[in-house]
Amino acid sequence: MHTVWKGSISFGLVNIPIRMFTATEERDIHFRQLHKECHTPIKYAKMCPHCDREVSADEIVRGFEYEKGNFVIVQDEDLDKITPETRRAIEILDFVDLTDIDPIYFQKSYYLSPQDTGDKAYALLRQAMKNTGKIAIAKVTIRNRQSLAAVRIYDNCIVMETIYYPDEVRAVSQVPALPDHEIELAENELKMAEELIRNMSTSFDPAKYTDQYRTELQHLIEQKMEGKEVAVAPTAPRANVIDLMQALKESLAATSNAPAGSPVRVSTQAAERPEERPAAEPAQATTSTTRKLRRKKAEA
Amino acid sequence: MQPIDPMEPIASEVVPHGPEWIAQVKWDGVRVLTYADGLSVRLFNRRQNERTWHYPEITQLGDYCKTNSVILDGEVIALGEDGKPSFHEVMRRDGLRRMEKVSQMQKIVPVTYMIFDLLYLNGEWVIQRSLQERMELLQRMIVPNEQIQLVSSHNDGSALFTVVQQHQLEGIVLKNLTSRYVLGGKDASWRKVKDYRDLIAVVGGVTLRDGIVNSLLLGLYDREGRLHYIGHAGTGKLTQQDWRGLTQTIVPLRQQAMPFYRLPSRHKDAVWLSPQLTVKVQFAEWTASGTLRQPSIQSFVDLPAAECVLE
Repeated sequence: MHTVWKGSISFGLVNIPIRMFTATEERDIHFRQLHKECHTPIKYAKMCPHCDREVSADEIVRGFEYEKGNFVIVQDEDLDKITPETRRAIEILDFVDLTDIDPIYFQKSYYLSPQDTGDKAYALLRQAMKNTGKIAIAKVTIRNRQSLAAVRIYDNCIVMETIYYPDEVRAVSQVPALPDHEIELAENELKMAEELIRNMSTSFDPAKYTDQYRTELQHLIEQKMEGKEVAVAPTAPRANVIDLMQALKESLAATSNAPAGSPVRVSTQAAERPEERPAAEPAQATTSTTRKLRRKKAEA
Repeated sequence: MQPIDPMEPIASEVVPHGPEWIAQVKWDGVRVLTYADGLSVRLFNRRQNERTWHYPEITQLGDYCKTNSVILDGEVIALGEDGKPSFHEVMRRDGLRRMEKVSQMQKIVPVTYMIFDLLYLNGEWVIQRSLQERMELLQRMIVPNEQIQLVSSHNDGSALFTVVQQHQLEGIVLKNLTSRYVLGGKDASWRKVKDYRDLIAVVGGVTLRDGIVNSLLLGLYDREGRLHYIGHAGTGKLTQQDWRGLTQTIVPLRQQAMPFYRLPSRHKDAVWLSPQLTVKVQFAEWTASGTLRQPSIQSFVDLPAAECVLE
């Protein structure tokens, strides 16, 4: 896993040095946009419509649009002045019960692992939180942005969930057309609905739920790569490691004037060559179908 | 199973001779150790970063190993178009972030696992046994196939080095047959003699031609944390498309301040960058002025800049 941040958990007088990892990942399949004619990825150019030319990074400043077409310019220096002090710490403020926080507040999850000498303090905090069943509310500054976080235990790992500030969660009162509690319900219909819920009740098994669309899309891409319609040819058929090892062996025999098979005390049957070499063939097939495809395109 | 810090060779200019020394090709790829405890198979690299999902070829242990309780040490390699191991190619697999692409990349960049050592077998550590014994055990356990090979050993180190030079491979490793496997890094019972040299450097700046990056200004940190300029590289394995991509990548890294301790000789029109990108560079030798001769870019790597230090 890739470290996204290094800092420490500050808990009372204790500082636990930690590394942070993203806990979840989007698994959506992404497409690039290509020019239909030549299959070159489309490039986005930053244009100034007034000067009618492309602008480079050092010609761009930041503006806040306070009313249509009117901006205040905000420089890096301005932002530096008000940036919260980057203490690089997850500062624990309070301990609460997990049920106190509604899931609507949760934003993004990060795994925390101890670094350097932190493992003992880490284990201590983990055990104490496990024993008390409490989770921590903390203030954390990551990349100049201060946010609120919940620190809790997941499996055997301390996890940090960034949470929304209360004013970032919209009030339910803004949702239109919600029926109120006084609405009259038929007793038997309610009973039936409750019965249905009981029948469909089970325990949560995350493995059960997969992304059907993604699986099929993946399958489709693999099919295409296996031969039929690849837009650009994958690299040419590759040489084989076994061939290279054989070539080395022959060179060595020539160099040391020793018979090829016996240079070694610990014998080497490693370089034996399998009867058939399936590796080279699919690649070739791909190339030829690509050629076919190109020819087809040329004819069209 | 906790991943270990594997044994490393020390650098050497001479090939040691004697009946206790054997020579092996130094395969240029990424170091991967396979940990199988009978229940699961997991892969970790030299830095103990997990690679289990990157190489399904290796986790299919039953295809090539006669036991399911084993720790194997080896190098994952991929060949380039020239038929030689290419670090750039293997990084196309090792650097994958999105694991759903693995099965596609398996077809585009096939890899071979070059196994050279055995640390653990059927519930027991074997690192205290001699290399000779470990290699014999390894030979009994592994059934090579297209994607799994045993690194072969040779008596005549000098002859192997000549061959490696002829074939322009990275170098050779000399190993003492009586030595045990030493955990925790470099040990003199393994020695590498390199044909070409390489290192991982920090990119502190770039030069552009027609708005596209055309060379990297490279540096290494000293003990005081100063970034020393070690040369610029504009050739190597990067394609036109890679350079164009790089031109985009560096945009958020641009800065006014020159990050090097001293002003590089090549600084006209240089664009300075926050020193974050790291790149593996091959080179012929160090010049007297402390820069690289004939540096050639292999691949961008995922190493924290602070770990790129002068040795």
